[in-house]
Amino acid sequence: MKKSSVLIISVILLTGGYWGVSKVVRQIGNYLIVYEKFENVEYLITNDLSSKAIEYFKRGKVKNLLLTIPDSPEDNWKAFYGENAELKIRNEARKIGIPQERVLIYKRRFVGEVDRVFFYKHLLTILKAKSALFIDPFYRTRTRRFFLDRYFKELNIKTYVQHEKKIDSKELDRWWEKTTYANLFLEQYLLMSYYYLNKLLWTRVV
Amino acid sequence: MQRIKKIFKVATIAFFIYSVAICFQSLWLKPFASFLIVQESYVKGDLIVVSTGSYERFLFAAKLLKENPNSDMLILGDQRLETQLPGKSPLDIAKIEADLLGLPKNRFEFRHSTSTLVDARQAKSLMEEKGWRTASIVSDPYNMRRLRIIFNAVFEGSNLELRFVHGQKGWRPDSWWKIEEDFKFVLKEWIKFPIDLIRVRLVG
Repeated sequence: MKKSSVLIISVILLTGGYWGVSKVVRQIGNYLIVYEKFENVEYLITNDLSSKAIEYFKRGKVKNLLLTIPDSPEDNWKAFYGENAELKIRNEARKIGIPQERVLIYKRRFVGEVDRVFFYKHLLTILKAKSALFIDPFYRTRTRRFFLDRYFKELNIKTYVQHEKKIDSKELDRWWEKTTYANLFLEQYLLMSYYYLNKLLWTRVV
Repeated sequence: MQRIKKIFKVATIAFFIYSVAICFQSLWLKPFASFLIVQESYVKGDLIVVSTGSYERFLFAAKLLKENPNSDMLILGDQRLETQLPGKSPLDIAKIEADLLGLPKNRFEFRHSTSTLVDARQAKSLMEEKGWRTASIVSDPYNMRRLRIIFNAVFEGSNLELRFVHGQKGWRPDSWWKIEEDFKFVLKEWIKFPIDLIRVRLVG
């Protein structure tokens, strides 16, 4: 084979390989995003009174808002929660016109995703809920679905997962080169592998 | 028959190794976390460097600043990201937090950074610019080993003195694989560690 042919084939293979790998890695990022459509739910579970939560409530798609906030503000950025997060949320809800009894606020310090899902499981069982929508940051939606599938299966509660904001697809282009996204995405895969590793080691997760 | 015997033998050995690994998991898993932790004694210096990676490390750095009236503080964070406060990046949140904690305004520098390597470069450039000689680099326990390697590589030959400190007691290196946050942190560090090691050794 001529040298020029070898060179051309090498260039084609390298370009194709790079394109293929980029596509696969992009898909690895996309896999983390879950957005499930729903008609109506009883509870919308989130961490703050986001615009989406307000919109769904106003449109009558959700009956109640269930918010969880840290029980010890000194352990968290005060810029997010302030000294009295509950009061702040209640005032905001009042301004928007959401009845106070429809906003359920729970103070709790979660030690992780498993702890969080167990808490929701316990709470929704007590509330005799039949359906719930979970709103999370986009990169955490697959992890939420993953743990809901594993720990909610024996319950008769229909769950949905959505992310708060619309995703700018340009933002996710070459996500692996953006350290913060790379960290966040990697964390989600590690969380899912945490479940499997502890099964393999026969250890009880904390 | 011979083939079945061989399969049985391999399966028995595999099962034995697996059982030993499970029974003595603390013995072989613990060093993965312990290795990552580096703690040097804190010496009051010219600068305290911290990134917005976690609230615990930020709070510890703020505590050091309060104890040392002659130090300044460099806070590093990613300005491209938006937090749950609309329009606010982690660096903006750190600015608000510094105010809320009552830290003196004139002793801060806020700089954009996207990785530990950029953190180190930003710290070095600030120290050279201000003529500062000593700095304490603050982070979370499991981040310390990688942090030290990167900072030492960037500061090599500069005659500037660095100390690496963490002040958190909430982590559990003796059972990290059972605790979500520890598990995530330890494995993330082990994934990044070889990549950064190659990067600083080869690329510089």
